Amino acid sequence: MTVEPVPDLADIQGNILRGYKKDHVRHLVLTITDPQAARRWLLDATSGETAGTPQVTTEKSYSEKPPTCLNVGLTHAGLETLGVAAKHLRTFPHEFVDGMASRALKLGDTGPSDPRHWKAEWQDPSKVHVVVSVHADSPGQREKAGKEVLDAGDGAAFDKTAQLDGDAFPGGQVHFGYRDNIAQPHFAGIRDPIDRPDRQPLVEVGAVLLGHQTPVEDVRWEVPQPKRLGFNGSFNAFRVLEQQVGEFEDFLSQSAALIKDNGMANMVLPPDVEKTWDPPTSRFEAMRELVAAKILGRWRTGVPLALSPYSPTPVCLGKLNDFDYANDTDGLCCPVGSHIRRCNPRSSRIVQRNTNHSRRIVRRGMPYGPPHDPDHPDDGKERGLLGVFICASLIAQFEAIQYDWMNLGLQDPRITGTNDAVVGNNEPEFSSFTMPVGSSSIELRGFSRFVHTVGGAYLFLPSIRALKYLGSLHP
Amino acid sequence: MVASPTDGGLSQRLFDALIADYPDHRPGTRPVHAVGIGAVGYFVPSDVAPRFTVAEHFQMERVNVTVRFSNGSGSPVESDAAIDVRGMATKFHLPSGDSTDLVMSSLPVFFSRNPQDFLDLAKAGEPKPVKPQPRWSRLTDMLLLREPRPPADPSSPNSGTAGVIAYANCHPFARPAIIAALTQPAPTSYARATYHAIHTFKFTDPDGNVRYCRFAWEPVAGVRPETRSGLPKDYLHTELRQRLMRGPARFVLRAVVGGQGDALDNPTKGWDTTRLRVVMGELVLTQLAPDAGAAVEPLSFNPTRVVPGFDISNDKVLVARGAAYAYSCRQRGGTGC
Amino acid sequence: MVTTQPSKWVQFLQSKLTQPGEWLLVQYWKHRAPVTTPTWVWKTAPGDNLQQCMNLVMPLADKTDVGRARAAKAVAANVDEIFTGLNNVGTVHFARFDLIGGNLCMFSVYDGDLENYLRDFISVFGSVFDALMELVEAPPPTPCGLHPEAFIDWIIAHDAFQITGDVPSLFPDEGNIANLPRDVVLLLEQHPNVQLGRYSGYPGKSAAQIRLATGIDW
Repeated sequence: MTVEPVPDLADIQGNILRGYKKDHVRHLVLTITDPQAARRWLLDATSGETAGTPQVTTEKSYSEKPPTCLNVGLTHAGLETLGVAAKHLRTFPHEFVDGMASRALKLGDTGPSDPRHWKAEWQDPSKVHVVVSVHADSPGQREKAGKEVLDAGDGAAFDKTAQLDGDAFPGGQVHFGYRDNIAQPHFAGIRDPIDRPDRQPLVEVGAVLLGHQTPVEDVRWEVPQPKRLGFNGSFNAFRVLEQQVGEFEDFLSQSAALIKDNGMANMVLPPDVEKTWDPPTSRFEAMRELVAAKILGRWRTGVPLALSPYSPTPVCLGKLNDFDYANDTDGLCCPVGSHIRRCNPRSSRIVQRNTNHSRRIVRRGMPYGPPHDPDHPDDGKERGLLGVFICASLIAQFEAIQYDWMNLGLQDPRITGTNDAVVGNNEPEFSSFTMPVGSSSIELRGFSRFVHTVGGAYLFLPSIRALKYLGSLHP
Repeated sequence: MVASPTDGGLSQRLFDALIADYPDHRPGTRPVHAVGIGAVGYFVPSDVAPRFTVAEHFQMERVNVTVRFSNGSGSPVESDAAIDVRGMATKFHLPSGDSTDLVMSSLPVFFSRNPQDFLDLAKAGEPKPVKPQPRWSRLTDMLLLREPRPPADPSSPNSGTAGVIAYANCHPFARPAIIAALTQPAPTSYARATYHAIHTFKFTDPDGNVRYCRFAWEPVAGVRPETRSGLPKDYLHTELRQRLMRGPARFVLRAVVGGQGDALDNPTKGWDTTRLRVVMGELVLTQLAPDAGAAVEPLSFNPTRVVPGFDISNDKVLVARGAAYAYSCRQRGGTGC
Repeated sequence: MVTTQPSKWVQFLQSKLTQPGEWLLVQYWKHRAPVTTPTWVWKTAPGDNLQQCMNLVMPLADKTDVGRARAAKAVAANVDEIFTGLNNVGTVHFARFDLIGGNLCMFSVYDGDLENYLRDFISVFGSVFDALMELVEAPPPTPCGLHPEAFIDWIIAHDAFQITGDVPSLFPDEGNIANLPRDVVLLLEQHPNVQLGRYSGYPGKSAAQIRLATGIDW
């Protein structure tokens, strides 16, 4: 494979190759009401004149970290409304043209997650044109930048359909209590200071940017036309994922009770090991944590089971991602059906031998809603994740992970027919999770779906040059 | 154990609705599947069956059975060659003296999602005077790219068919079953049709895991529809008698294990053919029931007469059938209600 | 021998007289009462993902025996590519190439999603497809590795339409069941190649599960 030149970072929207690490986000779901004003705004936001309209943030390295970052994603309907010619619209991949809701069966968005039950702002995909994302260090800055977007064209450019705010929890936790955002692809030729050693091959930038060498040998995704619109662009599967924290915690308790009474309990967790944890805990609490770890593949502290099968206590933070499953083919430490092993099998043996490293995606999700309060489990408040899943081919990466690996479990015959216990499309009548123990296993069954899709859209993240092109269209 | 009969008079309404569809119903007989023939034999569970259910009749080396084959009509007049649904009810005689039943018919799916649908359809199917076919019907059907209508039966001036078709036009969920019932030809033998349990049942395995299953009896001799005309009205009875004198008739009990997305409590919806399919055992019928079926004709078969390890689902039609069959059995003075 | 069959000449004349009539009726009803079926009826249930069928019918550009021999040779010349590729894809139960009339056909049974399956093909034996695409009518742009989306769209367009459920449920909007036969006619008018049904001797199992259970290593 030839090494390709590093792409022009000033042409690429930020947050794709490297994360912002900001604690607050606002996603503005917008309908374009005046295409001319919207195009004007796109030109202003990419003009480089930082004094006026807030600028779209790029991947270019900065000397001083800006307090807010701004990015633009467009749906197919949005591109059409901006005036992209039909012959060019047709060159976009069909899953993007059809939109996320039309892919529901493939994504496992069925039953309560069926698009018919999505929140009002997602009910009419023809009205979802633009999602502007503002990342900020403080809620005040977020508010200010968000308002400036809505004021575009004296307020005529966009109609706000929804405003979705996400706020990071201390310690990088998300609603189920897991520490998130530990594993991200390391891109060839791109330096990210937070990259941790991960024993995985470097990922070609073509995994997230159109027009570059992809991780699939001899395959390149087609660049939508004209080239200046498609080149260096990316796709974002934007998903609003509601989390049922109370049900999830109940499941941990029920499973812990079940395992505690199982003859194999001391094999999954050696007796008294929980007393060496920091802080020490009860046997029952330890079993709950173990279940949470087994279904995800990491303890809720972020410590991977592959490195530490019996303790969630971090040893060395730099090691959080430095593992594979080479010595754990049967999943005795990290179950084959665990979330992180399903979504990224690393070097594990899988049925589709040529796809181990070809479906890597970038995740930039942020929790929304107040943290779950165990003392008030039924507070009636909605909470979850504003999921941002970035890749160059939605169908080859995001959808393929979702359809073949997370749900169905086609990658290993020992889990085929089961769905991811944490985020999969589970129904109590059919759900099951296998926790291998010695030469046997413990089966957890009858759990429901803990993460419901309540909205979302497939977004195109154009390059800066492409945003300028869109801004200067004369339909 | 059959479902509780305290159902607010629903059983009686279901029973009365069926009686109304067959003006020549004879008291003391079944309201539907009135004409039948009994046979006896035994069932041999497969080696894998105990892995799927702890139900008693799948643990034994063999278990004696009584089977009643029938035509779907509630008319007491035998008419074996008619286009109609066929029934196969099986009673497994357990060592304790209790029994468990499998009640199946040749329909792959059912007409109704719930008892109210059933009442509506029964009402729609009440016999009405048959309108003569328009003179040019063959030509218009051809121009409309429809299939030619079957000629009306001159012997019966009244029919419920038109009402049932009108019902199907307004109720898409009922179409697969109604079309099957209106077009299913008679088999060459009761032992040459596949019979389906229609409803979903729950298997519990030795580890306590529950699986949702649907069942069918598949004839080892194969399925064969009758194409000859002019057969005697009781040819199916004669054929079974002669067949069993030559040797046993065998059926394989096939269970299909449901998966995600399958309708568990809606018998109008079929399951995909890609679902896991398990052979649960083989039925061997050795002879007709003794005394011309004197003990079989009054005998109660009930789809909800199940045993631990083999339970009914939440299918509302199944639950209602359980109570209605018990009510009907008492009405006709049956045995083992 | 006494026969009630009309003579060959009568049969020939009948076919010529009735078929144009049927053709006209189909054209009329196609406009008068068009049927709409989802063009991508690829699933009936969320869990129904194993042992899917692909029935690829690719009209040859040259349908003479010389052209057919060229297709046969192209397949034969790539046996290693195909077998190794299918082994690596890992999700294939059966696959075969057939020449049927003037068509080169690839019929296969695979697990999972068609688009993933095709993309895996492109990656492991794209060169075979490139060679075959030189022989078919109106081919997609090649090499397929640089035009994967166009290639997959082309394949889907040449994959036989599949009737997965019962006929009535294909036309839920039909208000009169007497019209269902016509709806089927109009559906077939849209799809020259149709898969009418499928049977599996071991349903509900993936190819890898079968290999695991039969002890040949998955």
